[in-house]
Amino acid sequence: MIPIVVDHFKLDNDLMLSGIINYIYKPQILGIAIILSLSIISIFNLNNTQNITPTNFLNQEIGHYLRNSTTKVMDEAGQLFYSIRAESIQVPPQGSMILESLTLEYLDSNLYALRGTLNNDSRLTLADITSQNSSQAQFITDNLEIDLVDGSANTSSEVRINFENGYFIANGLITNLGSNTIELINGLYGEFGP
Amino acid sequence: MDCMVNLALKIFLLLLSTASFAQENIILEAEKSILDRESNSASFEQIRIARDPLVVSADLAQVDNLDFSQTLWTLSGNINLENEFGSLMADSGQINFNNYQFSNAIFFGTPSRFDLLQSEQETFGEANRIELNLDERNIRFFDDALIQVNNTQFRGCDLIFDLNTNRVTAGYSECGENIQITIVVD
Repeated sequence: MIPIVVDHFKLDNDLMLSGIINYIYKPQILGIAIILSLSIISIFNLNNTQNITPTNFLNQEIGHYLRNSTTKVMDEAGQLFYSIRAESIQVPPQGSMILESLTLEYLDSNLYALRGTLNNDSRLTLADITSQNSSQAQFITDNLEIDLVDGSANTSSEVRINFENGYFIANGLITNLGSNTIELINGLYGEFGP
Repeated sequence: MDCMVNLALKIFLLLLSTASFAQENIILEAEKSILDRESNSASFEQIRIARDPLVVSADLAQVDNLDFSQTLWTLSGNINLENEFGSLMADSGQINFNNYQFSNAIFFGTPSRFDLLQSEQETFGEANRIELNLDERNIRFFDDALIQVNNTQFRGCDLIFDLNTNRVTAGYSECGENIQITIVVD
């Protein structure tokens, strides 16, 4: 029999454990003590899991998480305005939504991004973007700010535009996803060859 | 040993291919540009196009298709062109690329001017319209044209400078003006 003497331990609201083991004969006992302590914490934690009810889910009192979702937004005439397909969307109780591996289809524009954040004011910020329209010049940039209401988009990051026979690199871009034009700003360099 | 030889050969081939690619490429620089993603047409501000030995710059440029295999560029404002034959200044113009090569161009100005690179003599031409044709290897000066070779001036409405022989000839006489030759005595 190996005696373990514990002065006291308590679980406060923040799940903090404080205890003092005064006397341990063998190192293995320390491991057993830790396992016992973690078990107690786990039980306490399970008992405190917040219940998800339809009411607080819809009111977004708690955050939620979507996998492989497609969000479609219609215009006043009921026509598809834009859609966002994402591998994951984190919707916190407050603040911006966080999207990963998403494809934005906005009228004729089709953008793929590794990450994105969507604010309450319909501003979508994308990171690591590639445009995907096969018939059009493809552009790649690290960062793009999009106003989903009017379709305007811009970046001051480096932009690369690939063509069949060459490319452009510019230091900024202004466009509207509803139009076919891209304005390259702040100097551009390109090479074209056979 | 074989591995080292292979590596050296690969590096040599890579350098060779890079060098030839860079030489054949058309380099394009501009302050800003508006591209049409659907048609590949584009407009540029403060553009510079380089394709050795040609360098051309202008305030504005417009092209219907960025495919340089067959492209017509429309330029305007402070046009400067330099190539192996000399340098040109004009107000507006059009240049043609054929199979990624500069082939011919037409320029307008009051007047446009082409300073020819001649090792032994000062040669230049001025006219309201200058046509540069590399296929036929000549420069043609239309409308109030003047070509000066050292102290000899040629005036007319259509003068041709042959880039092979460095000789001046008269073009069509449909404009009704005879060619005038003046020898300027210092």
